[in-house]
Formats: sequence, structure tokens, C-alpha cells
Amino acid sequence: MLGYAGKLLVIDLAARKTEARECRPDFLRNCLGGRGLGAELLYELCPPGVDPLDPSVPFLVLTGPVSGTPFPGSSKHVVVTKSPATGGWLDSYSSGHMAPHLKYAGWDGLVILGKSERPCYLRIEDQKVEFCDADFLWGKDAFETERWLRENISSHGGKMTIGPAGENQIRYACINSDFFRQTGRGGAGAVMGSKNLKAIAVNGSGGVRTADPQGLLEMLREAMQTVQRSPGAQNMSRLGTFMVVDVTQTAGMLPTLNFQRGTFPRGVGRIDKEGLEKIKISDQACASCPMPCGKLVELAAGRFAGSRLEGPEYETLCLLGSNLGIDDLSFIVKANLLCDRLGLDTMSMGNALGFAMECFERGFLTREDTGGLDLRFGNQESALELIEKTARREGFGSLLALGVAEMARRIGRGTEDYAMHVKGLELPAYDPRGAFGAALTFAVNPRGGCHRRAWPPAKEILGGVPPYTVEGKAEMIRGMFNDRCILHSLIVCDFHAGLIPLRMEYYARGLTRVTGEEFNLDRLRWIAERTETRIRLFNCREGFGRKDDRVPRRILEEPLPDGPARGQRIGREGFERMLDEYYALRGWDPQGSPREETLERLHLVR
Amino acid sequence: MKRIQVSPRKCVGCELCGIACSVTRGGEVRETGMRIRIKRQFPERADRPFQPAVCRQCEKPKCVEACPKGALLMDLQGEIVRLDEKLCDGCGACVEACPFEAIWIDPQRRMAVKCDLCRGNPECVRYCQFGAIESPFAP
Repeated sequence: MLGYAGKLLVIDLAARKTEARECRPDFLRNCLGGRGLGAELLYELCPPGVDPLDPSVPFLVLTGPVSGTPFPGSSKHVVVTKSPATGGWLDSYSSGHMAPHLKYAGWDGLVILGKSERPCYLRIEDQKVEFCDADFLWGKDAFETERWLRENISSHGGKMTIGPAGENQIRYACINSDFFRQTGRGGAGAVMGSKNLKAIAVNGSGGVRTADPQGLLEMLREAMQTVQRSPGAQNMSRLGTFMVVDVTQTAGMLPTLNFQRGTFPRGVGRIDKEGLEKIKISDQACASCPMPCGKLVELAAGRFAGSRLEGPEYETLCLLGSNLGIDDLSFIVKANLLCDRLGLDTMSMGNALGFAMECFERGFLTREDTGGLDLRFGNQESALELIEKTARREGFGSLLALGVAEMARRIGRGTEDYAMHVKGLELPAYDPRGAFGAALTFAVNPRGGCHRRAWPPAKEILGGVPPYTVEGKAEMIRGMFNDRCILHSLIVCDFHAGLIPLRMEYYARGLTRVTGEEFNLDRLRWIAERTETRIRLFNCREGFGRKDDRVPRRILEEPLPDGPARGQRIGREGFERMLDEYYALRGWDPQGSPREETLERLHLVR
Repeated sequence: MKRIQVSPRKCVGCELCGIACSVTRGGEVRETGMRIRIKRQFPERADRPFQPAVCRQCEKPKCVEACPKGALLMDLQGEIVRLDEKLCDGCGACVEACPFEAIWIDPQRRMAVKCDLCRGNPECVRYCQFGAIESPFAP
């Protein structure tokens, strides 16, 4: 099928051997690529029940049929593996030049197995693969590592690197690409570290053949014209995800002081678009994107003067800002930069700090526990010191390195009520009490507390759907999951569909022009339904079920004390009802396990 | 002088110019087929995060001087440096000679790759929304 390379590069790190694995069209027609392809491969290749950091766990870097084509937003790659944060399914997306260069090199993706005896990095040039010694890179931060690769291997092409956090297998270690792009969530960097794999560099000199290249260029121009006319896309181009701070602040769902409050009045004009205007030096787009949402910033003055960053993104603004009671954008930039260099997910790191601060203020942690650090909300110095210590598992940092679920288990005394996570993955920056759909999204997301597979604020805050009810939310979330699944299988950036906006039919048309085979939206939605159930089967096999599709007690029972959503909480009854309805819509039983007739309908074998 | 007019400070690095170039000239996206490429300079350089690299059609082109095959020559109007693909053997002397890093070798075709302004109708500029590259020809 056109668009695809038709084969995966299988790399055995222990034996230092490689082979090509063919991907036949009849296989690809049912899973497309990206998330869908990853679901099939992980189910097949990952031995059930093993520790996520065991050498037998496969580490997949995948593209999709539109990667490396003129399709807008097509420079995304995905890492699929078993999550060190949850012990379940993990897919984590990033951008940069990995996806196009894998395709230029003639591969739909990498299947990395085993563990290298010594630290190594992989150098892939078209069909050639080299296992290179990385002893001298071990210990270097992610930026130093990428810089070395750029200077000594290739100044362009795809790069993936881990920092000390990945080497130390911190359960929320990320992978960096093009310096500032991360497969942030779920600990993909720890899996790389567990394999002694410091970095990957890919350069491809070939191209990606498509059925209708001129037609694809026309579609690209169509997207560009829509961007010019669209207020949403223009805002995104100017402000990036900074603009989301206003959305959640206004809706009263901006997590503040570890989700104790839903608004952060002190942050207005400081950690939002007005703050951005003072430090922005340029917009940045990913390759193939007509909507440059990336913001390059530089701190011109102050104690962190000279810090340069692409970002911070919304989630970081909140989780290292309002959620810690910090209204200083300079601090957020600095902390973000530190996390990037060390290879830590800013979102889980922010949660771990917020949780520790709440425990400290409530007396569950003392200066004795924290190594003398004052951990009250708002303490920037302590936060910066702890980020460094977390990545290196030093002192009190070794507790934060465990993530909030395990931290609460160790601290005990009922502190799990303040641990904001689902399945072990810390929550993103949306308090579901301000828009109830988020509670279901977080609960049923197979990788844990995550906002990337559905973004209900688009409907509940900006789209006129009533936010403070569970009514109709299961249907809404299921539809959003399916559409995102299509986008994440192609793989394209999911900002375009919602913000430019590009209709789902646009994607079906594009896929047809890439592959030369007719794909309509019904077909794509069937594939999405199939993929979501395949991933559910994976998690069921790992022991997950309804008991794990939970949100923290605070969200269910504690009314929000402030803001427009004041007094709101989801309530147990309503939450269970959303779960029941969601499972029923998916064809899963009340325990959340896919029914036999569902598997049959979706051509799935357990 | 006719050349793609470049304003680096307006560039956001989307690379749509190179993508359109590669598809228009070769039917597929290939970095090695792009006649305009974006050098990413951030975080080292904050004053100029992106530098579009494309042939400047120099009046006294070093590449023409360097080419041992006579495959590169100034056209009759003295405006555009053209590549005669029949003569080029991909030796790379032009790449070494160019002070602007704006000519490349396509390893698959063993041939130099450079901008010749699409014979008066450069395709790349239609894909730049930010005015970072502009055509030297009147519309």
C-alpha cells in the first residue's frame, strides 16, 4: 500500500542483531499505523505480567501512513511500550524529525527488544544500523546528548535522547527530540534507560511515495487557507497553549494548590498570554504544520536570565505554576528547562511536588523527611532543588521519583486522598469538577490520568454542552476517543482537527490520497473502535479492570471551594453511571472486559 | 539579481517550502530532494532561530567555478545558476565551495540539488504564510 514503507526494523539490543519485519497491507488495513499498529504489536510481543523495566518488554517507535508526506501535522511519532508509571499500556507522542526520517530511511517503525549489555546509542542510516558505544554519553543531560549527536553524527534527521532521569529509570522519565519535544508521559524514557539505550539517531535519504502527491499539496493549501480564516487557529498561532490558561481559569477548572482549588487569581496577567508577550522571541511550527503553536522564549532579566526554551506548554504552566501556588513565569521556564534537560515529564513532576507540598502543609511530611527543605506551597527554591534530586534519586528526591501513587502508599495515613492520579499516572491540568466529562476521560484512558485521547473542554466549556452533569458524557467521550484514535494512528497532530478546524472527512480523504485505497469515515471509526478494544484487551491481560477506572476521591466527593464551579463534585453515583454507559457503548461487560460478540464484530482474537 | 528573497526572522520553521519543493520537483517528499531547507539554530541563536538555506544565484558563483564537469552554469541572462543534470556526477565540489550551504548532493540520484527558481514561478513561496521567503518575479 502506498504511503507505507511496508516494513519494520526489528532491533535486538542484547544480540546486536537486526532484521526486517514485513507489514502486509491486509494487516495495516485494520490498524493503520501509530496507535493502532502499536496496539497490535504490543499485544503480540509483550510477555504478559512482566515488569515494565524488564528486558523482554518491547520498545516501539512508530510512524503512520501519512508520516513523511505533505499531509499537515504529519511529523509526529509515537513510542508504544509498557508503562513504568502504570504497568499497563503506554503510547506517548512527540514531534520533531523522527517520523519523517524513519520513513525516508524506509521503515514504518522500530521494534526494539532486549537490553544492551553496555550503554549504547543506535545510529540508523537508511538500511544501515550501527550499535555504538555510549559510555561517554551516559550521565550527560538530554540536551548535551543531542548536541553531541548533532555535531558528530548529523546536524539534521531524527533524534531521541534520554537524560539522567531516564538512565535512573524514574517512572516518569521522558524522551527528548529536537531539544524541546518530548514523549512526555508514562515513563517511556525509563524503558529506554532500562535497555541501556541512551539515544537514537535516524537519517533517511529516500522519499515517501503517495498515490496523489499533487492532491495532497492541494489539501495542504486548503488547510493553510482555513488557518488564515480561523480565529481559533490564529489564536493558537499567536499564543500557543498559553491560551488554555484563560479557558480553564474562566471555567474554574485550573488546578491550583494540588487540585484543592479551581482558580488562581494571582496568576492572571503573569502565567498566561500576557506573561508570554514579555518573553516570546518567535513562533515555531513542527515540520509540515501550518499553525505554529510552539513559542520560543528567552528570559532577558532576573535570576534566570538567559534561559531559552520552546514552551512552556499549558500543562506545565499549571502543574509547575498554579498547582504549586507559583505565579512567577520565570520560575516555570527555569523548572521546565531543568525537567527537559534531566529528562523528566513536567506534568508528573509538578504533581509530585504539589502532592508533597500538600502533605507538608498538612503535617504528613516534616523538614526531617524533606532533608530540611521548606516545602510549603510557593517555595521555588525547594522545588528546583527537588527536581534535580528526583532525577538523580537523591535524598528526599528518591521519594518523589516514585510518583504520587507510590508516594502516598509510603507516607500512608490517608494521604492517598491527595494523590491526584489514575492508575499511577498523575493527572493533567484539568479539574474534572469544572467539566464532568474529564473525569470519565481520565478514568477510562488506558494509559492512566491523561487528557490527550479526548479533550472534553472543547465541548463542555467552549461548545455549549452543560459541564456539571454526567448526562450524555459517555457517548461524547467515546466519540472523541475514536476520532483521536484515528488521528493518532495516521499519525497527525491532534490540534489541527479541533482548532483549524479540519473535519474528520478531511483525514479520510487525505488517507485515500496517500494510500490510493478508499478509506471512508465509517471504516476509520471501525478501526478506532477495534484499536480501543485491542488496547483494553492488553490492559485486561495485565489485570486492569473496572476497579482501576477510578478518579481520586477529591474529584468525586470534595466540592470545589472556589470559582464558577464552586460547590461542584462529580459524585460516586454519577461517576459509576458514566462508566456503565461507556462500557456498554464499547461492547464491554460491566467489569470493563470486552464481550465475545464485540471481539467477533471487530475481528479481534484474544 | 533574481533569487528567493529570504527574511529569516519571519521564518517559523514549518518547512512547508521544502516539502512543496520536493513534491513539485520530484513527486514525493524527500529531504534529500529539497532545494530549500531550514537550518534550526535555536537554542544556540535566539536572534535567528531559523535560517532558510536556498541558492542566492550569486553573480560570481563559487559553485560554478568549482564544478569540474561544467555542469553548473549561469544562464544567458546572467540571472540564474542552472544545473545540467546530464553532466553532473554528484562529486560534491559545489557543496564544498558554496559559502551559504545552499547546494546539496542527493545521494540516491548522485546529483547536485539546487534552486533554479522553478523557471520563473517558484513553488515554495506559495507555501510560506509568513513572508519569510518571497519570489523575485512580479506576480
